Amino acid sequence: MATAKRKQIWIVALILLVILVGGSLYAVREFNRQPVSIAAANPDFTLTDYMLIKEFETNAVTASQKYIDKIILVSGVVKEVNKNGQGVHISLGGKESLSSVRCAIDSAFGSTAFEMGKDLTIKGVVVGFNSDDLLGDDIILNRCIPVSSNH
Amino acid sequence: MKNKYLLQCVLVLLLAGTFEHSHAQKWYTKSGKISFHSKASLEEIKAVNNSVTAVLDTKNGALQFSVLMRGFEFPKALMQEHFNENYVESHKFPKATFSGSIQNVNSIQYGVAGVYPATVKGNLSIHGITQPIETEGKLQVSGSGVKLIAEFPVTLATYKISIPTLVANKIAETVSVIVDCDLNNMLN
Repeated sequence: MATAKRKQIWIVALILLVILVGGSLYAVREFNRQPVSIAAANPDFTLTDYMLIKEFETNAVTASQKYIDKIILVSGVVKEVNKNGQGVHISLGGKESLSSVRCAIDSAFGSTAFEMGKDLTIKGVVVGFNSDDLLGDDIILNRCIPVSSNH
Repeated sequence: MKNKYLLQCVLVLLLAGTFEHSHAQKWYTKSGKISFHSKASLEEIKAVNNSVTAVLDTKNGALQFSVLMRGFEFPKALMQEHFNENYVESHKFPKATFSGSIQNVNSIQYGVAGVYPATVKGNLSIHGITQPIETEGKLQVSGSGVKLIAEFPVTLATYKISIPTLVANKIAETVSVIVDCDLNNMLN
């Protein structure tokens, strides 16, 4: 009788230990979790810069709910290439307005040459919409990587 | 004789026009950098935002910044999520803004390259709360534009950013904000 009870205690202890170890491993992994790799991820949406700008200009609230924090594949014509101490910033857009899709290119791809007026497809995370009367409307993306046009 | 006089007039007018143009400009950037640094007993946190919009009017020193909170990148995903969802609530308050001016605008020679000390005063809005702030900084003038450099403290409680007691040892009550923006675009 005593042996059976001891066995029960051992089993409970073992289960508790497994939960504790499992829980700890999960916590450590969660704590150290890096932001998702953009290169490996499947985009949630694929569209052109024109379409994206239009959606935000039509209804910024709905578009924000739809796109913010999502990974998108956006293609367009390079309107601006800005190289400063912080890396490379590309903006895609048309000449008709000051509005554009802006992205900070992931530093790993900083050395790739980007040409004004050329087509470019990029994959990145939508971070938000900045609307300014003076400077135009911008959809801002982070952690962008250039994608080969063969896609 | 008449032609020479006319030519001189034209030259003077042209020069006057150029002089006026080069000293009344609006410089801006949409890829400015603002980072913040929190040093607490248990952890050191750094986050960087590389999509800051900043506009400077050299005529009167008017200065504006617009920062998308979701643009801050953290080395750890969990920290970034907590920052956005719990601390700054970026879904409710997507932008932090500054609207103010450079106080010593007369001592800055935008036509002469160099580093000028600057006193900046204005209103800072974070998490729906607006507070007046004043800080010292530097203005680096060059042929390609104006670089703004400043560092100032932000006390989280002032902007109603509450840190749960559980992580109080990991996040400092006052964080250090570092501005490093290259305004190299000119507004026509």
